[in-house]
Amino acid sequence: MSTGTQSPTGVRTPAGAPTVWQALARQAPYYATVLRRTWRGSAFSYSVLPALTLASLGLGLGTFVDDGGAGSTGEGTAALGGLSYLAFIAPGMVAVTAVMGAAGESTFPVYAGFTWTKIYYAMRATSLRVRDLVNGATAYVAVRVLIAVVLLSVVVALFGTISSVLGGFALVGAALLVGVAHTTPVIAYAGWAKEDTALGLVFRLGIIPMTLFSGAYFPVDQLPAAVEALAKVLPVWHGVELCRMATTGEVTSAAWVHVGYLVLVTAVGWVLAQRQFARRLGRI
Amino acid sequence: MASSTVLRGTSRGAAHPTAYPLLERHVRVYKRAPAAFASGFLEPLFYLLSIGVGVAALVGEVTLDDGRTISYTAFLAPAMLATQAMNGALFDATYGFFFRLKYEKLYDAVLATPLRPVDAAVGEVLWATVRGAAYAAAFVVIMAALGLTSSWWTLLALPAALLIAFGFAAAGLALTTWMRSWQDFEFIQVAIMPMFLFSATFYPLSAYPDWMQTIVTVTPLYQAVDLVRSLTTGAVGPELLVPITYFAVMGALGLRVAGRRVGVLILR
Amino acid sequence: MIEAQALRKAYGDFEAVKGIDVSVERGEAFGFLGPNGAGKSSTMRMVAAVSPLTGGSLRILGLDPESDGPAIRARIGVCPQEDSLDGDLTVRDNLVVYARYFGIGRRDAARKADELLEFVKLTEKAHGMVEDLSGGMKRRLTIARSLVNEPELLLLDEPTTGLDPQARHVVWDQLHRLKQTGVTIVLTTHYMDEAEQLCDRLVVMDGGLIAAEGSPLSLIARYSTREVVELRMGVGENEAAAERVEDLAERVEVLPDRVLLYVADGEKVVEEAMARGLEPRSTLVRRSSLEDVFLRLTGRSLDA
Repeated sequence: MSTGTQSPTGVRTPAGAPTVWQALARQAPYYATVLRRTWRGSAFSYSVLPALTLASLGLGLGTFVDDGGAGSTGEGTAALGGLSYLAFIAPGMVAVTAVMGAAGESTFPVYAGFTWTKIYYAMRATSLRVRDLVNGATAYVAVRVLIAVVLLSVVVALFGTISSVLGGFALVGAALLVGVAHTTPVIAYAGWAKEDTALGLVFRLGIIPMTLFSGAYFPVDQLPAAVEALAKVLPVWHGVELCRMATTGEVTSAAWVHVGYLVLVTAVGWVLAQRQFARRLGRI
Repeated sequence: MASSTVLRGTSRGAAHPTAYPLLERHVRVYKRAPAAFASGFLEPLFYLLSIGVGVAALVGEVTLDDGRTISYTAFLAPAMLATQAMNGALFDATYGFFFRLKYEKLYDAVLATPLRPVDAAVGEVLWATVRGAAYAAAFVVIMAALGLTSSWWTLLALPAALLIAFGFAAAGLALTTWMRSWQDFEFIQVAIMPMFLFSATFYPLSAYPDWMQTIVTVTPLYQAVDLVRSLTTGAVGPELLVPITYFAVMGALGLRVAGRRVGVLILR
Repeated sequence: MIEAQALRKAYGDFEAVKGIDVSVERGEAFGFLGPNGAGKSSTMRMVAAVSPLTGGSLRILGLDPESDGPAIRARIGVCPQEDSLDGDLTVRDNLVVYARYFGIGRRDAARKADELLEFVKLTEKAHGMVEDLSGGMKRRLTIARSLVNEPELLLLDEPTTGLDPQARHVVWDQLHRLKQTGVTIVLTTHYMDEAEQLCDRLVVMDGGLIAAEGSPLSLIARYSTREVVELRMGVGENEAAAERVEDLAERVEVLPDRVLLYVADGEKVVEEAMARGLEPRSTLVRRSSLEDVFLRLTGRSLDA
C-alpha cells in the first residue's frame, strides 16, 4: 500500500480498505494471543478424552457388539457393514469432536466479543469491515479445529483404525470441513444471542442431540424411518459419513454430495453471520 | 422513615435465619430462566432415545451380575438417571457457585447479613440437590412410561437420586472453593468424563480385567449407577448400604469443608 | 454504638490498620476521612463484623463481633464500596430477597421493599434488572438494601464515589433524611465536601493511623486559616513564586499545579502579591476546607 498518512512520530497508517487477506493478517496478532493463552486447556479434550472414549466404547462396549464378543447377543458386526465397533465409531468420534470443538469456540468467544470484551466494536472502529471480522472469527476457529483434528487423527491412527496414510489426510480434511460447517452458523447464532444462557441451550438442544443422532455411534438406519430421514438432513451426518469413507478407504460418489452439502451450510452460515454482526455493530 | 416501626418486634427478631432464604433466592433466579432449567431434562432423554435405540439393536441383551438378562435400553437407563443426578447437581455447585462467589460477589452481600458461611454452603447444596433430583424425577417417570423398569423398587430411585445429587453437590462445592479461575474447571472435566465413560454406564463391569474393576468400583459415579440400577432392576439387598453410606459421607464431608472454606474466602 | 481500642488489621505482612481508638455515639453521623489505602475500608469491614480483628478490642452495639457476628449483623446495615447487588434478580427482588436473608417474613419483606423503593425513588424501576440501572440508581438501591432490616447503625463505605455531582446530592439528601430519623451513620469518604456535608464528627486517617479527630469546623479551625489563596502560575514557576510571597501567609503549600497561601484575609494578600509583580494565570480566594486540613496533617494532597 503506497498511500496513507504518516504521523510526526513515524507511525504510518495505510489509507483505504484492506483486502480480504490483509484484513485477516491484521487480526492475526489478536487471535494468536488468544490462542497462545487458551490452547493448553483444550489439549486434554482433543487427545486424552477421545482416546478414553475409543477405549471405553470401541473396546469395552465393542465386546458386547462385535460378533464373537463375550457379550454379543444383538445384530453386531453385520449391521456395521462388516466393521468392528471400534473401527465404526473412530471416524464418527473424530467428526463429532470436531463439531463440538468448532461450536464451543464459536459460542462464548464470539458472544464475549460483543458483550464482555467488546473486541468487535474496537475492531469495527478501525478500517476493518464487518465481513473481515466474520472471516477473522471463522479463520480462528478453523485453526483451532485443525489443531484438534490433527491430534484426534493421531489418536485414531494409534488405535489402528485408519487404512492408509492418504486416508489419514482425508480424515483431517473431512473433519475440518464438518467443523467449519458448524462454525459459521454458530457464529451467526452467537452474534444474535442476547443472553449467555442461550449459548448453553444451543449445545444442549442443538449440538449434543445432533451428534447423538449423527450416525457416529450407530448406523442411522437403526432409527425409525422418519427419524432417520431427519438425521440425514443434519450436516453432522454428512461429516460422519465423509470421515468414515476416509478411514475405511471405501469412497463412493456420494462423497461429492456430502462435500457439497457441507460447503453450502458453511456459505449460508457465513452470510447469516455477516448479517448478525452488521446488525449488532449497528450498521452495514 | 414514616412506617419504621413496621418490623420492630415482629418477624425480624423472632425468625432465626437459615439457609432457606438462599434456596428461595436460587429458585427465584431460575424462575426467570425456565428454558435453561428445563433443557436439563432433555439431555439424558436424547441419550436414551439415540444410544438406547441405535446401540441397543447392536448389543441386544445384557446379562446382569445375578445372571438375569435385560434389554440394553433397560440397562442404560438407570446409568443415565444417575449421571443426570450427578450433572444436575454439579453444574450449579461448580460453575454456578464459582460465578456467584467470584463474579457476582453474592456471598459478600449475603455474609453482611446474619447468615453464616455454613448457611451459604447449605443453601447452595440444597439448591443443587433439588435441581439434580428434579431432573432425576422426570427421568424416572419417562423410564416407567417406556416400560424400562422391572420392579416397584424403582420408586426408591427418587430418594436415591436425591442422595446422589447431595453427595456430588457438596463435594463439588467444596472443590470449587479452591478454584482460582475458569481454567481450573478443566480438572472437573478431567474427573467427570472418564467416570462417565467407564463407570459401568454403557456396559457391565465384566468387560474389564479384575484390577480395573477394583478401580472403577471406588469411583462415585459407579456407586451411583450401581445403586440406581439395583433399584430399577429390583436387585435389592443389604449391600446397597455401601453406596448409601458412600454418598452420605461424601455429602457430609463436602458440606463441612465448603462451609469452612466460604468463611475463609469471604470473611478475611 | 461502636467502641474500638487499639484496633489492628493485618493481611499477611501488610498492616492496613495500625492501632486506632474510635468511639461512636448513638444518633451521630461519624466519618472516616482519608485517601485510598488509609485503612478506612478495613476498619469498616471489622465494624460490619465480616472481618476478624488482628489485634485490639472492638464492641459493636455492646456485642463482640467475634462471637456475636450474626446478632450484630442483624441490627446493622451495610452499604459496601462496590455495589454487590444481585445481578440475577430484579430491582425489587433484590430488596425482598435481601430482607429474607435477615429472616424477615415474606409479607413484611415485600412491604418493606416497596416502601424503600419509594424512599430512594426507584419505584418505576422495580421490575427492571439491576444492570439496566445507572451508577447513581445502583447506589441508591444499595442504600435501600442496607435499610431493609431497619438498622440502628448504618455503615456506608464511600457512598458517592464514582457518582456524578447530581447523583451525589440525591444520595446526600437521602442520608440527611435518614439521620433525622435517628439512625446512627458511619461513613468513609475521600471527599472533603462529603465529610463536611454529612459528618457531625470525623477522624482523619492516614497510613492506618488516626491523624486527627473532631467536628469538621473544629478541625478546620485547628489546622487551617480562615481563607486560602490559590495562585496558578504555570508549569515550573510555582516554586519561585512561592518564595516571593512566603512572608505574606501563615503557611505556604506548593502543589504541582498551584501555590496555596493560608491567610486570614485573602483579597488583601492577592493585591499584595500583584504589587510584588507576580503574574498568576488565575487566582482564587476561598474558605478553608477539610482538604486543607488533610494537606496540613499529611503533607499530601488527597487526589495526588
